Amino acid sequence: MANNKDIKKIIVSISRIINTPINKINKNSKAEDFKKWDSLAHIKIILEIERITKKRIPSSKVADLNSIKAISNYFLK
Amino acid sequence: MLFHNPLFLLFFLPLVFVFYFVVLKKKKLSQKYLLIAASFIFYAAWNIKFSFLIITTILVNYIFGVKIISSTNERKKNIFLTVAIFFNVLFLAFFKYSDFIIENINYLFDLNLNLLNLPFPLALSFVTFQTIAFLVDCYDKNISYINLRKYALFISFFPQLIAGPIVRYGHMIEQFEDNKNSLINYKNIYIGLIIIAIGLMKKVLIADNISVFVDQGFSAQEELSFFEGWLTSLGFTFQIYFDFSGYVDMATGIALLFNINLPANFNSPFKATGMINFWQRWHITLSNFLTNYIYYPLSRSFADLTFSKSMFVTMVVFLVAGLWHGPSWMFVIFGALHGLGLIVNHSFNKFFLLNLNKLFCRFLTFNYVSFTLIFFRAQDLESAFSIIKAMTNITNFNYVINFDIPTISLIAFAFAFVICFMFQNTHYIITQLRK
Repeated sequence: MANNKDIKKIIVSISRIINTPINKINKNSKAEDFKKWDSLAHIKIILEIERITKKRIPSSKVADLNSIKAISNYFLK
Repeated sequence: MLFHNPLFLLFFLPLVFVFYFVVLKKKKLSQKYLLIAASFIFYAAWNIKFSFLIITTILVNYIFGVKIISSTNERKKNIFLTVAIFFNVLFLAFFKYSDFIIENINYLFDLNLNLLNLPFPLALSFVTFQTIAFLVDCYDKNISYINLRKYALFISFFPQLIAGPIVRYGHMIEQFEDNKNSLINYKNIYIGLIIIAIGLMKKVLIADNISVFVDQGFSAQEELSFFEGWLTSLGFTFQIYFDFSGYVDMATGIALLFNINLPANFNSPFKATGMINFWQRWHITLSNFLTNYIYYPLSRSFADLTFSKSMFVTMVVFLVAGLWHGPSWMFVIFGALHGLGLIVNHSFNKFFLLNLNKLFCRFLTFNYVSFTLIFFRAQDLESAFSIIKAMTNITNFNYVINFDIPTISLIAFAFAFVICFMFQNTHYIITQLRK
């Protein structure tokens, strides 16, 4: 199970993948806020999350993890 | 029986509504059985024989669902899911694609196998995708318990049975099981009726009137003029959008009468500023299905997902999407052109840091989509190319319009243009009315 440290790592990875400064990403950020967070970036984010948390995300959940809040809730619940 | 049929609007729907909220008031279970019965009558009114096919797919997939949920052994669970998906794809392939496959075998191997000439059961394409999503949800433990009544209602719910939107089990059952949704809700009725009216107008006043000259263009025996080519192509672009989104609006409104919210399926797609953006706005629930259940699993099957591999996956997904629309190579070409459009869009985003003017992007996207739709509608390549030739024939400029176009069709065309580019969409209207 992921912890707050992992969530911070995930945000850093998202910032790198969507090529956006980390200070522009906060806990309320959503995929639709960033032009570069498209389906291609999303799958890269999911693979990175799986690498960080060492947990496989089921296919049916992949699309739902489209915001920092959704990612945090999924792993911190 | 379709939604714009007077028999449905003036008899079937009011009757189901009255039974649901007045006769069966506070009898939650009976209300659900009524919706299932009404859904089967709705489907059987089109073709009674095919309702048995829908019943078969419901029964078989219910059993698969139970098996997947109850299996504690991961390997067994995996086998059940694989067999279930295989069954559903084969079921669809048999009824929808068998003649297409036979024709291609005959062509490739110079054979003369007889065609089966099976009539295609309405709704099966949507039911298949919805069922696959359900089975994966069972496998992923998003669904922990099912019963036949809930599952039958989920698949057969008549507002979204024929043409979607493709819905998820959890999203629907949560609403069906909510006690307050079994009571009459006047605000939902008010919003639902407005949305049904909007959908009906989109379908009957706009799409059907535009189809008058679109049909002439696509069936023209003689060479089309420049303006006829453009009128045919643009006309079909608006026709298909108003036809499909109008039908989905009616589905949304009808579901709302029963306090069920269906997900948005269109979000002003012609305002899209690129092909990626277009598929975030057009047939959204299909796009979500393709992304979740084909694009992501395929992408994850690569140990090292590079840009070129993900573009390859994108193309595969859109070839499947194209073929899903119907048993014809023209649909495959349509899918391939959309795959290509997405690859160009992704490549542009990755390799060029230009910020193009939004209006220009919108213009480019709309015209590219319009171009791809020529292949969607045309009977064959020859017919598609004759329209493209007319649209691009500026050297031998022929401005004559020989179509027999009623004034109402031209008005509908003008309205379609204004509505698409200058007005808010139904999804927005629903959100505003809810406030």
